[in-house]
Amino acid sequence: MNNTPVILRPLILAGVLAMCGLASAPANAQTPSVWQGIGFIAVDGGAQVTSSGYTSNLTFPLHGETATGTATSDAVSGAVFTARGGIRIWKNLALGAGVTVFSSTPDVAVEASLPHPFFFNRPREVSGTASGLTRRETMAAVEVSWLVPLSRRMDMSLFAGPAFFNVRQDMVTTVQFTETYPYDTATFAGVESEEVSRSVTGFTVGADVSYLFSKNFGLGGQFRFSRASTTLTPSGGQSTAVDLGGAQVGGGIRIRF
Amino acid sequence: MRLGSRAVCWLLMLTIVGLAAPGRLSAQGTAGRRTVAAVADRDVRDWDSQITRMERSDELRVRRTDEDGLVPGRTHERFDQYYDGIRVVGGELVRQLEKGQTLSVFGTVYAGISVDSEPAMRAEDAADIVAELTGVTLPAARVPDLVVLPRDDGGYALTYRARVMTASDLIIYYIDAQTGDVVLQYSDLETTVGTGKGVLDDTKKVSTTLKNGTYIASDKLRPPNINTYDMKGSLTRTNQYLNGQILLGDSDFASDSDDDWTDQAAVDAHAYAGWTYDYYYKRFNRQGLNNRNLAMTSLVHPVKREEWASQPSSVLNLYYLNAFYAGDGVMVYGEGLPPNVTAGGMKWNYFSGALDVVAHELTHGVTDYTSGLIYRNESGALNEAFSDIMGASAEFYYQPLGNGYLKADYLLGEDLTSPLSGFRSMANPQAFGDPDHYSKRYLGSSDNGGVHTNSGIANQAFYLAVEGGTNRTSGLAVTGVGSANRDKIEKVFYRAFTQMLPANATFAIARAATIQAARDLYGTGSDVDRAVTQAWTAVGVN
Repeated sequence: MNNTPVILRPLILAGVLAMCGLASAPANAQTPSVWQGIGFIAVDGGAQVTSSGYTSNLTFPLHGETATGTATSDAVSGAVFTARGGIRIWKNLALGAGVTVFSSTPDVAVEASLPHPFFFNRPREVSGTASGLTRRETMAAVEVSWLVPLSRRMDMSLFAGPAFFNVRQDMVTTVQFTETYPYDTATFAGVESEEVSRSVTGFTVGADVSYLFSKNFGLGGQFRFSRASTTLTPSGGQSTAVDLGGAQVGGGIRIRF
Repeated sequence: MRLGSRAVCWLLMLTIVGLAAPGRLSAQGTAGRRTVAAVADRDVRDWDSQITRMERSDELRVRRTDEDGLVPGRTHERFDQYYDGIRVVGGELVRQLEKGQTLSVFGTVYAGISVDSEPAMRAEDAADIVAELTGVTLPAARVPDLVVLPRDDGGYALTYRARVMTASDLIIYYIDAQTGDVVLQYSDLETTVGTGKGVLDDTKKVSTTLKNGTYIASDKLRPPNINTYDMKGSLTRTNQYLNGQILLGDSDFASDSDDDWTDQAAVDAHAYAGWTYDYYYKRFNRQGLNNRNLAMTSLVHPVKREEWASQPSSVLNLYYLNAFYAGDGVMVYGEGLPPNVTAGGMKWNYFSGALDVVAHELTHGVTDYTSGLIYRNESGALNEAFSDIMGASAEFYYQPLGNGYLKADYLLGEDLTSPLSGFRSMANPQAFGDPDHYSKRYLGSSDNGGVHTNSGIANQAFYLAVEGGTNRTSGLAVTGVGSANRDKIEKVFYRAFTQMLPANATFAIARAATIQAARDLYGTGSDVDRAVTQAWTAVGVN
């Protein structure tokens, strides 16, 4: 599945082209050893390509018993927006911050065991796919960058730092179904969900390549990996362990000042 | 915007006809709402002509016409009110006819309707709104209906009506067809599933209804109405009801405050009535006693247990130590005796506490609506036997095999007696003094010619056809179909007893009919044919 919005593709392409430029750039004897500039800003669009999936366990009261089930979301891609900037504080070392916003609405596979209205211990099994359940991750990171000049126009930075995640995940809480007499079977009809929000600390590391077309402006590409782990618990439901972040690639504009 | 010119005419007409005759029409609640109760000749004539006029102007449409099930020759027409081709919620008239003549008109109509009948949104848009509200995507076949909703404030709204089942509720939505706002929503779910302990302290589910904050024993999950009433020990009231002198109301239902039921007799009567309906439906595709989902009514606590000692023997035998089918889908379950009292050397629990007893009584209802076996002599014994057979079969359908309480066996009523013995045995009728062979049949006149005694002969035939074995009297051996194929013999007896036997059937006719049923269902010369034939021969019925 490719969830990368069409509008972001040119930016990603630009980043890739910038990296290609790096690869094809001739060796330059005048390459400075110290990064030239006060600071930088990078704004990228791209995709988070290895978002983690999750499986949540469902329990809800039904017909005098407890219905059980699972909702499973496989790892999927999603669009990501990134903005980061920094100030050089010593030689090639810079201190800055970055923000990424990721959103994905994958299909969720749902299986449930629904109690019979007339008899104990005679569950009906249903399964189906729920759509429209969105995960939104916002990550804010404090980033220490090591800036590596590659030529007068091109440089690379390696960065890492602690990251603060906020996730808002639509969690399946109950399964909707249809049933008719004699109720020995039931049919999956959808789900009810609840948005669960949680904040947690993790980390981020990455690399960025920039190519300047003028003194201050250019294009670049970025690879980043971020990770945090937490649990999400809908009201009255069970806790579900989820991993946040993942591998991100993107490209966009670069500003050096 | 098309304002209802017809509605203005309506208002005038109602003013002239209705308000001039307040006995026929009275305003209630919503400003334009008028109730109609026309039974006097003149009123009926007026409304008859109004209905004709409204039909011509498409303000009324016939929804359905029903034959009167109680008074032959009468029909009931049910009309829906329409405004510019859109149904008006709650606008409805019911006209009773006999030979083309109107006898009465009842209903509610709305006057002065004024709404823009052109919706600004499509039904699919309303479905999307409902999906946003509930997460339920309605299929194309259930897109919301466009209706005119009379509002509580006296106005009207053009709305889409949707009925949505979620995991926790059944919700009716009225979505404004112009703005998309929710005009009205309410839960349409009254039915609940409660739990309770049966007579033998076993926990089971009961299908109940929440009414005015109390859970009542009214099952609306199954196709027929299955109601259980608590007679609160009033024999007078019980008999008045059975004689048609009083009707039972909401306050008579067996009830519970939290749906965790503690009236064990009511729990079993209610649950087992449903189970029996299910058994007939799943095994024979039969829809209730009359195959048309006749309501099933159970009466529990017809007398007070603690008053047993002061009762005459007739009451003791009928309302304490008995259960009976009272006709028209009504069952009465005996109260049993206090735990420290014995009768016939046994303690007797509530009679609703035995599934085979409940299924037995309900089967009398099935017989009533099918063969109508006359309740005396051989046909009466066959009537009783069929009830025993279906009672035991229901037990085998739901309960695990074995000896003991809540176990499936060929004893009748064992779950309500202590020690565990019951009062009849299909495997060995002689154990209770009943004949297992035609040569030993009771020929006296008591018990309607021994209907509860001679039933043992047919019971034994059923048992042998299933399980096989040797009849103790004749010494003839039968090769049964085996317990794994019990359902085949059940179907044979069901087919014969409900579709083939005449009301005055004899044992010989029952033999011929069941053999024919076996051949119809499983073929001549089949194991079933052989087993049924051998079984009747073994019990001396040829």
